[in-house]
Amino acid sequence: MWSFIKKYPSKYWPWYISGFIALILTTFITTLIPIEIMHIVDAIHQQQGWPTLQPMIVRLIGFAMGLAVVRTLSRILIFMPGRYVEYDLRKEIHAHLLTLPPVFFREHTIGDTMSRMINDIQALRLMSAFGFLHIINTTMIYVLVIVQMVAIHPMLTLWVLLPVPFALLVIRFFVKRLYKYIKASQEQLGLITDFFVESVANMSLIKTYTAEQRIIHEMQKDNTQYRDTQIGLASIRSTMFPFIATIGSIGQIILLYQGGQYVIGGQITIGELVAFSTYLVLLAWPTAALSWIINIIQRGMASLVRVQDILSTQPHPQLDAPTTSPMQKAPKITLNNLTFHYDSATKPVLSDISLTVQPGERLGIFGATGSGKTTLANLVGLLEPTAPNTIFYDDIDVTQSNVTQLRSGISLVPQKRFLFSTTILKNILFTNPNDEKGAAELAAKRACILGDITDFPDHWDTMVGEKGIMLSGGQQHRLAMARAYAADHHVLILDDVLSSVDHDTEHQMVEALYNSPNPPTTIIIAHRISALSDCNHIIVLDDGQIVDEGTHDELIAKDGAYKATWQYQQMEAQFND
Amino acid sequence: MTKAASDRQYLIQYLYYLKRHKVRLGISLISIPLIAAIHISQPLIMKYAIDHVFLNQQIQQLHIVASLLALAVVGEFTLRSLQSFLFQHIGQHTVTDIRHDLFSHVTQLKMSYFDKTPQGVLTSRLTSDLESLNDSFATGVVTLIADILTIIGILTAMFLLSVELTLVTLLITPPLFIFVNICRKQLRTQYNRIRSTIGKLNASIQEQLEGLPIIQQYNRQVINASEFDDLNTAYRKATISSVSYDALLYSVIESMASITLGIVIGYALGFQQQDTITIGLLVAFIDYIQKFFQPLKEISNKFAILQHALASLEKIFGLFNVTETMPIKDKKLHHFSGKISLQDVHFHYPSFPDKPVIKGISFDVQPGQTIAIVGPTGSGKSSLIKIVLGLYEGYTGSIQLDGQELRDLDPSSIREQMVTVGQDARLFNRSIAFNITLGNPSISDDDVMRALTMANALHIIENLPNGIHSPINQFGQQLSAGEAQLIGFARALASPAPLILLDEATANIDSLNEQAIQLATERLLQEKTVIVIAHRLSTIQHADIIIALKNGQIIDMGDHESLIDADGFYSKLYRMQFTH
Repeated sequence: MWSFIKKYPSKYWPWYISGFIALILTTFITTLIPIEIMHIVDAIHQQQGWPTLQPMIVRLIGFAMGLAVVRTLSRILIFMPGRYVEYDLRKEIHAHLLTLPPVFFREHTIGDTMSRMINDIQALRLMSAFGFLHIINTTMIYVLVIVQMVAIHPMLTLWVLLPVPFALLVIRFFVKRLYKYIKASQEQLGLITDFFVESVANMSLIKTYTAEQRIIHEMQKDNTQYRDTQIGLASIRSTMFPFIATIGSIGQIILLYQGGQYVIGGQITIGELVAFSTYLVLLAWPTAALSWIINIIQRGMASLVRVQDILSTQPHPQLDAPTTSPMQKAPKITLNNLTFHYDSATKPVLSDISLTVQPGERLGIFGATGSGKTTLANLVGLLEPTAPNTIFYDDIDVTQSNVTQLRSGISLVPQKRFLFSTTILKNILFTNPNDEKGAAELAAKRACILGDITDFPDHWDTMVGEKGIMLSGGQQHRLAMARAYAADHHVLILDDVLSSVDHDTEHQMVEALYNSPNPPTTIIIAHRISALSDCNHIIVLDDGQIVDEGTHDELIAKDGAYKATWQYQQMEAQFND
Repeated sequence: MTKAASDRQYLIQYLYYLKRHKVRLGISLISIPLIAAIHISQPLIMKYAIDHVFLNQQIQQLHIVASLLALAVVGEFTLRSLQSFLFQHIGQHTVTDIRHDLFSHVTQLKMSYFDKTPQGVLTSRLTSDLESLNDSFATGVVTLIADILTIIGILTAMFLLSVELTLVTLLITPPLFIFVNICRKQLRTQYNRIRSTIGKLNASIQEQLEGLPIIQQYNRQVINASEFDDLNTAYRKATISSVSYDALLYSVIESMASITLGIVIGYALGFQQQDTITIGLLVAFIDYIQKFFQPLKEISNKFAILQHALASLEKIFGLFNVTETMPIKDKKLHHFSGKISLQDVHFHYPSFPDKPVIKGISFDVQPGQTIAIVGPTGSGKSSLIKIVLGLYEGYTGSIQLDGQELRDLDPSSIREQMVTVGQDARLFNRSIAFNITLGNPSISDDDVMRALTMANALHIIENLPNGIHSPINQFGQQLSAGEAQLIGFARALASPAPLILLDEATANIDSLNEQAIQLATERLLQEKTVIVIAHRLSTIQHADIIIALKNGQIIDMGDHESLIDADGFYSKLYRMQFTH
């Protein structure tokens, strides 16, 4: 908590100090107004003339106007730094996220991380603005009001404040239950939403099994449960909020009864009774808000933990390693007994992988889903941190080098194609946004997407939409290829990029890939044998191990998964002839 | 239909739901003026206490007055609680009912509607739009009526107490109202700006998190950080400008009651005979003025909420008015034997009228037969299955099921007689049993176990604590694609439908699962009448009829032997497989 305050809000101390002063002034003037009203009422009661009353009324209006000014100031001064704190935090978290290795995203979903960056940061902002404002406000108003009331009549003060502790306890009770129900109802709404998403996505299944009525019935279970929780929530809300509105009134009843006796007995004036009444109104809201503030702070603390969880995750270990001379040409890549597991409790995803790819040569990787191909690509592409002495670029252990510098020599085109929702040109020139369009054209041509681009109405300025949704799957893959080509790197890793294009395009893409004047060291992962057959060397992965290797001709000469797949795909190819 | 007319129609549709709760609605509506009356009576009790009890030293009346005030306070609390509960109760029931009906409506829509409507849109109609309708109903509309009644009541009470003083109070109100509205308008534009910038900010965060491997791989961290900073700064600036207006509005309204009070007293004393106002009247006025500004603060805000509610109403009932539902026909298909006859069938998708996918296909299926369809991607295999299922209408030619024309039959009765196993296994995040029965109560747990056994899928449930009643993603252990496929087979095996349409998995042959799937397929083939889109030679070989499709036309048809003898496409394919 203190480290948070020291790091973020304390930077804006001049705002908070001046806000604090404005806030104290606000509270002070607020308590002066009932006194002025008291004087006016008493003066009227005592039949005093306009000359006595006029300055009082002028003062009343003056106070009210002054109050508007200082109150505006106090709110601006205190809320403003909250916004800055929010900005600073989000900026820092974003910068930190960019450095994190994939392990973070295996442990946290994107939705959860987003909610930390949005909701939790907002909760922290609320804490550092509203929390600050209300704690001071509530304390000040209680102190000043009680001082004023005691000055008028100590006994009556005691009487009218009697319900306050009781009210606080009741509200606390309500708020606790309220948040329990709110949490439950949010979770249930989440379930309903998930079920809708699934149902709409599985609509053809529902229809073919004529399961419509049963699915509706299933949904209705969640729907009814959610309704009942919401009604439970309603029962709390509909008692709690009228109760809060009533707190002040309970004091008023006591005031009327007890204060009335004092008025009749001549111990206080009617003006003083009216002042008490106004003070009770002043106290009502801070009393009610107290439990709300406690909640803001509690949630702020919970959010702080969630935010710090991100900030304390270690960045990729080789970000700070010393830089050496940048990669000048296609390197030799060596893997030496590479074993890797995501979780030390489970069996390794890759075990004992050793191989060498000579500069400019092509290595093919074949294997079933889940055999470890993508993990291997991510390790060689240096996205995933590896252990020392396992991966070597030109005989240098990659863990000894700066990962940013090494990456600037590598292009990995992932299986999960990903494009940014901007123009085609900006997607291709992703690494070097300042490059000429000519570079993009060359890359697009090699990736066999130039024709598609010129066919689009907006050509290079075509917006690809969120995750590239405006393009077909094959176009997305080819655009991702163009992005890799435009980066002009010395290592090229293609993770199952060629599967979603038709055979002709695949053929052209493979041709373009192989006919390069300065061929990069290339690793191709593919399901389709036609994309692998021209590789210098092919390994077959099963369950994280190399179970077979050799050239295409060697592999189809013996029985195994490679040959079986090749036959199957030959058959498919026949269909297309 | 004009906007106003459609708005009215949507409101009528909404009222139809509200009417189911007539009694509760009636009680809540009656309680609105009651609450307002009790709320307004409290200053009057105070006035009476001051003028008649305190000034006349009537201590014995004090008990009565205090009890009266206590009664009013307790009464207001009770009525408010009751009313608020009833309104929320009605609101929740209404939303639950609408959600049920809307979901039912959605499930009746044609597949072609789902092809063209983003899933996210449908989901948000069923969730966030309904939630916002409910929020605005419970808080907006009701409190708006209550606030207006309270203001009218307060004004009436003030007029009865003193016409002059009330008029002075009202003179101050219009400029205040204008000021509030200016601020609110400013704030609304600010809020819209905030909303659009936070939308962009969220989209950017999501995109960067999803694309993080690419960003890291291509070393774009610096550029991305600066792009993000632009958005983050824009958001901060947008919020900061709203802070000032918000602070000003809040503070001015808070001070307004005191300023008005000063002016009213000043007027009363400066221009009126002092003895026309009693001390009790003054105190009551102080109270009323404070109570008067409270609802006034909120009214323009509530009109905004109301607009929001109308927008949700339009979206929700707009979806109800989508009429592309599956047709319901009187003629049902009962006790289907599995006999199918296609005669010169042509078909194109509704969205692509000039792209026929099926061009004149004819063949017959006898009960118990297995028909294998082979052909390249885009040859019309899957479309053929979708038409036979009755998922798409609009074919020409003739498709007869047990001698009855498909287009004359009720599509849902057709689908009751058929099941499919698709290329990608579709699962619900429920129990394994639910995924197999899809809620069909006539399929018992024993049936489920039998189906799992036949599908060679027993190993999936072996280690699960609750067996078939365990959630499908127990402890985050996702099923593999192959296992999901086996569940799909079990689903088809558990169904009593006599015809199975099997769209065999293509893209990945997973060596581990291949044999299990192979066995499951063979079981299916023996059990029922089957039309299978086949890729495995073993499946094709054992089919009673093999049909080779290309570009929506049959290029080869017959059983294995006759096709081998005919020396066409199929025999070429077959020979090629066995030369290696």
